[in-house]
Amino acid sequence: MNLHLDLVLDRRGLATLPRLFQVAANEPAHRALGKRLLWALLAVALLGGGAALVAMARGHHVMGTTSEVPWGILIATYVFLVVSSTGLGLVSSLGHVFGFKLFEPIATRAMFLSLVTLVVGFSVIATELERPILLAKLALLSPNPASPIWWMGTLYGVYLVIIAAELYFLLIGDHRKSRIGGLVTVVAALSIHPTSNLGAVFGLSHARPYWNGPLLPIAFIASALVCGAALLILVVYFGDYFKKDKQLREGNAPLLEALGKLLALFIGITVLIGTWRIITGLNGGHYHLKEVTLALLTGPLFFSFWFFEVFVGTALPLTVLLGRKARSPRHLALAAGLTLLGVFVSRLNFVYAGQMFSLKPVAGRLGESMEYAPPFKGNVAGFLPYTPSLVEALVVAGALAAAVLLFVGGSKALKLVKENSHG
Amino acid sequence: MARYGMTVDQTLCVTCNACVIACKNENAVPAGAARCWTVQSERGVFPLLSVETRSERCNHCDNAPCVSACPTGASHYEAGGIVVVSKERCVGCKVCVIACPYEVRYVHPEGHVDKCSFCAHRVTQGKQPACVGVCPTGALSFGDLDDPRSKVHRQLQSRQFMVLKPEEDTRPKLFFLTSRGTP
Repeated sequence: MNLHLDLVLDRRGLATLPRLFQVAANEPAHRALGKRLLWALLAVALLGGGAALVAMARGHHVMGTTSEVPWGILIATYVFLVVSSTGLGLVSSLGHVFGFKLFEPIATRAMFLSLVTLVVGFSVIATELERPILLAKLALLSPNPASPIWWMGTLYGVYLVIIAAELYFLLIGDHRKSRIGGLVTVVAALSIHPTSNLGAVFGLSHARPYWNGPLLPIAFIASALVCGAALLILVVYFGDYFKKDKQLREGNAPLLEALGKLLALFIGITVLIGTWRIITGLNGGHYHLKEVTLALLTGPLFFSFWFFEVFVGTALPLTVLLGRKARSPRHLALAAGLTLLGVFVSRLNFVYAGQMFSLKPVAGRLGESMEYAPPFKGNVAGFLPYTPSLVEALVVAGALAAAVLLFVGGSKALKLVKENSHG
Repeated sequence: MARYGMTVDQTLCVTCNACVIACKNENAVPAGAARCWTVQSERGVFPLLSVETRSERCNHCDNAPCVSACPTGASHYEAGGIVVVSKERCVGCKVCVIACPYEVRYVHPEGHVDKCSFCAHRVTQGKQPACVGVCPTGALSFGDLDDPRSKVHRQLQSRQFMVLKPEEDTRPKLFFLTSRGTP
């Protein structure tokens, strides 16, 4: 066991870590820039860590959430990260499960990033929860199988163990265990379930018509694929960009192109799902469903929906991906980055939109229709306000920075980039 | 086994908020939060106006979405079908707040979720919930819905009543009596 661990994480690998941040005098400009960026990310991550400690010590007092809008940006970030984790597992399985040779070189890095996003996602939710350790304990000691949260948490926990094991076998090069052992297939199958159940956490909320329905558990998987493909484009692009290895660049060009095509396909699927959700929403049928849909289309969420979700996150990337520049790595990376930005904002909109109208009925008599959407709590616009607090914003920024740092540093320590150069 | 429920006689409720204060005192409800509250809403167009009054709280649903949603069993049914939140088991995920169609829960400053418990601690001693005991007009009644001798049972047999959001299929045990006399 020790021998194996040494193989995976030897001292030389760890010793290279400080060099990650050192800017040498003769450093090429792009590498120096990259290292300064890492320093900035480290600062943001530390700040976020501090904010997380404050959040854990003071609980919801330092959050922007209320009893009426109990879920905020931390839930949205958790969703963004863990759904990305699934997406990475799924897209990378194209190589090591389904045997598409083109995708094999990124398998290990994808599994590692999947692990990183999952761990950081768990950290974010632990910050949000009042008593995260108690949840872990009670999930085992007094489980409630009727609860979608219990299934989601438990399955993500299992998924974490399995991808860690899978990554370990990939790293020590034990293909007998990692391939023939069937673990990879299990990963591919299992990775769908936690995310599907996360969709169910929202989808089974009968009281929230904007979330309620059988579509979300499926929509979340489509969205996971978008995140997985976009993140892998960035991983391959930046991995090469800081290498300046022409051979490596050219070698990876077909991979990037394929990932770009997949990304366009996955975005297309989410557009299809999103469009039908809007049409169903405008059709109404249940209190607030039409109002929430209109809040996105023409109401308070107008800008973040049309600009970030539709224009930045969908239209621009699709234009690039389907246009003439679809083979340019730089443009592919741009499209991937914009897509991820759009997805992140869509998570925020999604989490908030489900809670933006009060559920309190104000009037109603036998034989008369009930009214559920009055102006309330002094808010004439009729929707419940939520603005992330500074602590919440810092935790989110810190978590995203930490994910990048953990991935870059971890890849270095585990020599994942070197492994990649064979491919 | 008893099946506890409550009736709110809308023809008697004057929204004096005595129930709200009694509840706050009895259950040490923190400032800014409430386990029960009153609703007063005007309906119609001048001069044909009417005012509807209600004292509201958790509906203690027979089919409670909060109980299904809770991952740890903190939200659970007590004896008599009373829905309570055990603060020792609450991890603060707030999914019950999301699941409840009536928005009757609040996040306690200590971090757990809290709501009306039908004063289960009093009921087990044979007492009435604090709000029922204090109501000056007798608008609130509490008892075993299945016991033909109980006031709530008789009221539901003889009066017109409504429940909130019946379409949610939660089967609430908080009933609003909407008219005098027999239907």
